[in-house]
Amino acid sequence: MSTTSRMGNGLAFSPEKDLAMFADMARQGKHLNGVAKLGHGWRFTDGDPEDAVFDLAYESHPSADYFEIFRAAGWAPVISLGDTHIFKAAPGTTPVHSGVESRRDELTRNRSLYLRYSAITLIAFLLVTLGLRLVSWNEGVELVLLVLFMLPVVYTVTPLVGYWRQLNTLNRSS
Amino acid sequence: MGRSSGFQSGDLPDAALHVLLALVRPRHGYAVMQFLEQESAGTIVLGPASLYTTLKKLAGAGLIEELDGDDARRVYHLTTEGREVLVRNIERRRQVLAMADHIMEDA
Repeated sequence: MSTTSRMGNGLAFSPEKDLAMFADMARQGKHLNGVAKLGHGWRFTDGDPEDAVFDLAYESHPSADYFEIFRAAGWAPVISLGDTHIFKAAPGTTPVHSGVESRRDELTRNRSLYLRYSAITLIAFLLVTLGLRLVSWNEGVELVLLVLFMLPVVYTVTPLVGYWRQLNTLNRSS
Repeated sequence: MGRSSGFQSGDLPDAALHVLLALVRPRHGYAVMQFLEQESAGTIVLGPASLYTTLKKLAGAGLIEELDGDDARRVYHLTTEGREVLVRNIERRRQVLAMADHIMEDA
């Protein structure tokens, strides 16, 4: 089965761009079926062209009837990545979020979550930086340690900024 | 928390009031959507994420409860407190509408 991958725009920053890309790819017969490029992109498999719209919802502990409610409303689950769930439906289906409240709740929850993660990774990074200043190590080891502790900061602070911006935009527009 | 505190204070947003109305009789999630759409002639349409979030909040506030049954097709029903909150919210909206009528008649 032939696969194609595309870079993502970052669900935390501009989910609408990725969702539009999924629809565009589906029209070309390329169907979303996973992540690619070390989690920075999307993988598509070849199939029949399909006219579909995509949407996403966040739920950390979906109950057994979560997906059943979506299916019954016309939204078929495509993939789930942790607490992020991507669905597709026929054009014209009632949107996943019919008001701003549930979207706001999701973004607020994600912002709080990544605020906690960011605080932990930043504190760990600062402690390592402080430790490296106090104790002299081999330069190579120091560099590896700095990179190792910097990466989690990037991968927690970046989504935090994204969710924060989305939430501010939503609050300004409602 | 101000935006979602209505579930605790009992001053419900419209979507929650609609779901409570649908749950005057026991219904599962999707039946709530169908019922509201039919009863409102299509003017009240709830998306699945909005419905699920509202059900969770109402259950968390003790205004609805799950009845025993199929886990993949959970059936919900108003609690006694939920019914009291529903009646209070309908009355509050009735007062607002009466006020609106009065103001519009005078205008």
